[in-house]
Amino acid sequence: MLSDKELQDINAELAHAATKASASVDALNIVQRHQGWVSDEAMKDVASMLDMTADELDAVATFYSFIFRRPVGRHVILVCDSISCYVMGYNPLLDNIKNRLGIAFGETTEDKRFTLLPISCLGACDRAPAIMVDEDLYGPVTAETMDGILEKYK
Amino acid sequence: MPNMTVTVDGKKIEVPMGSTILEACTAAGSRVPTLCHDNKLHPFGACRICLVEVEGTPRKFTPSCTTPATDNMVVKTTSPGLIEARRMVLELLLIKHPLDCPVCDKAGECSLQDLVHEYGLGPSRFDPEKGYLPPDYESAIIERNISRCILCGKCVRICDEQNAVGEWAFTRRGTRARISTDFDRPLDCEFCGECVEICPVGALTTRQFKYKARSWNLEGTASVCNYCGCGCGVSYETREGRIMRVGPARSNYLCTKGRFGWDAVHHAERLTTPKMRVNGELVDCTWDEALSIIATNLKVIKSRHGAEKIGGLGSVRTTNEDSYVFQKFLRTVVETNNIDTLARLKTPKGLNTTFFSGELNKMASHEVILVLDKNVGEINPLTGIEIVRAVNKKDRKLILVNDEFNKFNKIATVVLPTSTVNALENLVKALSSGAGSEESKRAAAMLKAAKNVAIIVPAQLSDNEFTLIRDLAGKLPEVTYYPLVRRSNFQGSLDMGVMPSYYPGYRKIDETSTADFAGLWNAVLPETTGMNAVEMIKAITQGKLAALYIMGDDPAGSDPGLKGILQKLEFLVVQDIFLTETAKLAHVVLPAASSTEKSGTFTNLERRLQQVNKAEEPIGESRPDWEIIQDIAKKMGGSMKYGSTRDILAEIRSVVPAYKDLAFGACWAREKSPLAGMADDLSLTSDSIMKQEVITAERLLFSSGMTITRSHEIGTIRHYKIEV
Ligand code: SF4
Ligand code: SF4
Ligand code: SF4
Ligand code: FES
Ligand code: FES
Repeated sequence: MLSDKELQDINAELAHAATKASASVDALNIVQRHQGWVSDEAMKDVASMLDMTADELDAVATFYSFIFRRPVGRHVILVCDSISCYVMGYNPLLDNIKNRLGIAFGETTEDKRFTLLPISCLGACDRAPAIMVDEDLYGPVTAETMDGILEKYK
Repeated sequence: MPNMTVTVDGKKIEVPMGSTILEACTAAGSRVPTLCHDNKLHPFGACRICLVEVEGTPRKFTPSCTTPATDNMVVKTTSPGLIEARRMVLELLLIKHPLDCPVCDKAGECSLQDLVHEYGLGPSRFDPEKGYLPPDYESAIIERNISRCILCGKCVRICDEQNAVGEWAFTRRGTRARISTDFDRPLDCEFCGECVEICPVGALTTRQFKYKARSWNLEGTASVCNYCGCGCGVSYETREGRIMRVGPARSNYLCTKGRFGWDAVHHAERLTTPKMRVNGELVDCTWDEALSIIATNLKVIKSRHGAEKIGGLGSVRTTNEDSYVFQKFLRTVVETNNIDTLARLKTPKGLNTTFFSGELNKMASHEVILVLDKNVGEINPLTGIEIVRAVNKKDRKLILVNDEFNKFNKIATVVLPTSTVNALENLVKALSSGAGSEESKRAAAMLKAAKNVAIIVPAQLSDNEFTLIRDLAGKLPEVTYYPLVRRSNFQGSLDMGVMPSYYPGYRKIDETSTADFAGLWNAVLPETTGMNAVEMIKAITQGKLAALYIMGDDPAGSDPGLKGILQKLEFLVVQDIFLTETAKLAHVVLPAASSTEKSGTFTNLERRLQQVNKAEEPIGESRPDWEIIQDIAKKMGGSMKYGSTRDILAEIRSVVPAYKDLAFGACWAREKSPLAGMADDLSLTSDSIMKQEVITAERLLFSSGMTITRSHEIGTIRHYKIEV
């Protein structure tokens, strides 16, 4: 069940969308903003608002790395695993993060503070190795700067 | 449209502006391999196997299926570089492919297999990690083998673009991309099998054909589907004389009934011998016994009570030849005009007088399509598909009358969410005075602006709706009607005169026509018109009808209330392919050959004459309907001596003007009917019989009278309930 606020926000998007389906990314983002992720149930509800089938909408959702199809922690750390970052120290950086948080890719810390996910090129190759925490981009990230970064996210 | 010149492999040709390079290559007779392209679909460009070289372009290779050709373009479809590039595409496609051709049902007709064979690949340069996923057996009818999928997207697109169902989608991405339903639940769709048909590989296959045969062992027989009035062309694919699979002729379309429902004729309960009633029980007997009993009883009843106490109910599923011989037998041998089909109770008023269907494949030539029956896609699936194609491929506008919600809502330009009669009233009002709701006004404006309009006429009409449709059409410049017609050869049975007041070819029975037909048939004909189906049923209860001959219909199955009435008959003959509820009441039961086991013709709802061809031998001792009737006629002293259905068709052509020069595959013109534009009503009404819609499955789409209940495959469709 979508909340009234979610319905309201999605309808506002629909009001100026060229076709209903073209509002799909915005609608998914709205749900994610409110619920933290997009569940199957929410997917079905949104799909019916957009006159799409659930799998058509899921196709959109699963294409984009920023739409989460499983529950995540309060903050999401995205580590770039593409070529520039890979060359510039992705492996030690990833090990550092994993050790620090005690989780692997796809996992969430017990206190639900962080979820760790891979991502492809963030478009910040000049600052490799790069990571993103929620909507903030960081790079180049080293073992030293990592402390300060994580501190900001409670 | 102006043309342009394109040179393909050194050959100069003219193609219309807007053609793609692929179309130009095809026109030039050069073959370009494709995997993700199909003429039914919008260009997509997913597979890259169709690469060609275009002279003077900076890009080395160009995908031909998505790139428009331009004037004076010079194209090369093959070169060492292209072969190398295509080989690379195949090598990449094969990285994850399981290469299980020996157990894949697609082998022999698989585009990937063919191309790999043609381009001759060696060992892959890639780490052969197969990413194997187990086959998905969760759905009815269709199996999904994701590991074999090459992600061409044809299934996704056909289900969306042509069917407006949208059951498949690509989910995930990169190497994890795959086609799936809503969160991988079992299929809950129309089960048409179009996605299986179009899949270039063995990723989607049918359970019905699984391990049945290798494609190269199959022999095709072109024929016609027997499940609805659309009359789709089918190809019965047989192996050693048994049907293994059915596909669409001319790769047009088949719905689930046409593609999978044929297996009803292989059901173990098929009637294989004649039966007669002995001491209240039906027991097997010989043909000679059965036919003699019928001939004797009909003769006795005729001399004792008069021919007007004998009647016949014909079929809307048997061939024209069967129907023609049936009515001729009753008229010339039994000497009664008590001839009808019960199916007339389930047809729109005005069919064949006001409403003559347009051709289905010309649906898209209309600027606006007005759908007055929300069940169009369930009753006549192909009509529904042609509507979706017109909207999605040709950008036609759709006005939909629907007080519920179905797939057509997704593609409609305007929806009138009300009953048909209300919608019609509103449209007529909006067209004449400009008054009405926002939607009615929009719809009216669209109708007014359109050069031509297609109107989908409901399968049944009230008098009021009938008048309103005519009013509405009167306000529009050009209208083509598309009436819905449930049964396969309903049109044919009318054309053949299986009606109490018309001879074949809609000649109204009167003195002149009777004299004419008496001459044509060299027979004495009854002087009065007969009772229609409703009157016959009533006559039984009043003791005014003593004997009834039913060919290929199951009234007691469709309306259990009729059971008690039919039991009152002195003599009942039923000729069918199953021991139906009606046959169980009969004194003599005759086993008929099914439409897969005989030849002849059907006339579909477009009035198109189509050939039915025999693909299998009749099961057991069953025989084609016309042969059986001819034998009884002979025993009763009649003079029929047709050697084959060709003889019968020749006679039909000489008797029915519309059929005179009608070619196979052509539709007869409305002007050929004496009833065109007349006030005659060929539909029947009754407030007591067949009141209820016989739905033999959860959806009308999976239902088609009683035969389909014997289809094993259709029986496996269980509607998967998703909470709403
Ligand atoms: S069977 Fe027909 S309706 Fe079902 S997924 Fe395939 S194409 Fe779509
Ligand atoms: S299942 Fe078949 S049609 Fe569908 S994407 Fe895969 S290969 Fe193409
Ligand atoms: S649309 Fe009608 S004629 Fe065509 S396959 Fe389906 S049931 Fe048969
Ligand atoms: S490769 Fe990491 S930001 Fe581009
Ligand atoms: S056929 Fe052209 S890209 Fe697939």
